[in-house]
Amino acid sequence: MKSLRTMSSILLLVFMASVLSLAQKSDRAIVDKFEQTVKALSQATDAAKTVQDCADITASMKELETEFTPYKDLLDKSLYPDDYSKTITNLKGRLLVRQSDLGVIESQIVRITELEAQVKELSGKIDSLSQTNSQLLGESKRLEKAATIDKAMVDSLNAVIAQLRQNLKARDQLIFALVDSLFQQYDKNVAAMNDVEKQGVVGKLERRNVLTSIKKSISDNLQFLESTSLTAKDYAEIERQHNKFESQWKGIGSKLAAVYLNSKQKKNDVAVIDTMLATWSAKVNEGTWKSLVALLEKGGIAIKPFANGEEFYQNFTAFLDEQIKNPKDESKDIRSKRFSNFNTTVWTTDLDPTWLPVLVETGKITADQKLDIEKKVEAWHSSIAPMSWIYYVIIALVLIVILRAISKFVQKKPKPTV
Amino acid sequence: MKLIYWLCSAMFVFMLIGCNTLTLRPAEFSWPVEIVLKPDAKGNVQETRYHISFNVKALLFDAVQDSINVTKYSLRVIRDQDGFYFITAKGFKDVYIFADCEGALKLEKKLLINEKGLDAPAFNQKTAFIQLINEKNDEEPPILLSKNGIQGGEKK
Repeated sequence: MKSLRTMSSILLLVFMASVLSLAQKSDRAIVDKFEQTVKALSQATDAAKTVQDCADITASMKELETEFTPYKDLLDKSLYPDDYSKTITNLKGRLLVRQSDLGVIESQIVRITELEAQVKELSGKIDSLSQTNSQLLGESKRLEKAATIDKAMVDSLNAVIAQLRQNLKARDQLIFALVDSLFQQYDKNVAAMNDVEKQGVVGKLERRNVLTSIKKSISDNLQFLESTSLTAKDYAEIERQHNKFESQWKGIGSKLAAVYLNSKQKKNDVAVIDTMLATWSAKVNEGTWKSLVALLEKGGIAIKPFANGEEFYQNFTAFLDEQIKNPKDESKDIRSKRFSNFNTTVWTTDLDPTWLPVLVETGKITADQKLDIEKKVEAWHSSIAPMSWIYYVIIALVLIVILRAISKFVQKKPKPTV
Repeated sequence: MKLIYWLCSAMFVFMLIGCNTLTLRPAEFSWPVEIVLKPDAKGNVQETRYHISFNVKALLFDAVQDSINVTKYSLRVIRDQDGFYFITAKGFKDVYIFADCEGALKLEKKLLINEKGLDAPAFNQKTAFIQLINEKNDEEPPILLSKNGIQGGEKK
């Protein structure tokens, strides 16, 4: 616990040092912060007990160097009796001695430090994407209003929505990559971690605002869903993204709940995320079926209402069976037009290439059901399609071959001698 | 007689040379960063790196009319390249410039900076000048000082 407190104070000092760069700089303040951080790092080094502690100190030392190298000249003159480089070298030497005392292997430190650097980089990217996404959400709302008056805005709106969809997806991936990197540093299950290690994870999760980022991500995805300009493809992609997010959350949610065992507030946060995810799931579900109904209606297909995968499969295949059997005895012309409309506006554009794979992927229908639908569509096609021109060509070719064979046979026949 | 005359002349020349002050140039007295000193109950401040100590009661009385509660003040002190000491503190209206003389610091100049008193003053060393900043207010432009007065920036 003591080393944790020390680490927190180091981080605070490093943070304060970065704040210094924002305000008017007092040289004394820079020197003081450097000296205090070095002192805190020295104390943390002496108090280090695990490989994780050593890795954390290594990362903090790197941050210290990054932060203070621009002030090297000032520090060289101001530090006494050592200069800047010697202070850093002494600090590193102290840590090496401690690592050696603890029997820590250098490669472990390197790996953990790399992961920590990765976490930091990901964290920065998430912050930047969150900012961009907020701007894009605002922009899409503004454009939606404008698009109802000015159709020229529609293209801009579509571009914004496409960009937003990409960004939301990218940020979701980054958040989970960040959490993975955090847990990977410990090389063990949460259940096997001791309290100090759990506190270490909690500290890192807090520092990177992981729970807030996850909540923000779900909230942005929900806002995105409320956009009225989403196409069938957008919904298919949202459905896919939601499913991925949910399965990734299942993977880390239990781990987070385990490390937050002693924090009621954070346990509540995890529960809030579960609830938000359930809302997202319900909205995605609702949006998915609404979008599918709209797609089918666009293709002139009226089927019984459906609200889940099974109902969709049953009602859609019932419709296909009816088309194949033609119980109303509709003329070929009407049936042909209906199929052609369905084929060009629904089947080849959205349903077959996009929707069916997504529905299978997300477990809403089975692969067998997808296959069955495809077979029935093919059967519908066959039931109304006139004989294909390919058959005519084949027949013509066969006839030509036969005729040539006959003519050759006739030519070869010896003329009767007179 | 002539010899005595030449000997006296030579002695006079040697005396003249001997009386001329020996000056070492160039000399650099600047401190890289300011020091922050807190007076003890008697008003004494001491800095270990530069081995300097002096009493600030008279200064505090002049600046804030308080020579009793001296321990509550933090004095910002820096020395410029010519060896003058610049001293101020939170609540001071002025920056005091001192020169050292026999066992004392002698006031050279008092520069009025802010009628209402300084908020969070700090000195930085800027080669030929001493820069005075307000650590709590980014919008306040820094002021450049020398022993001759304010060289740049504005009075508040």
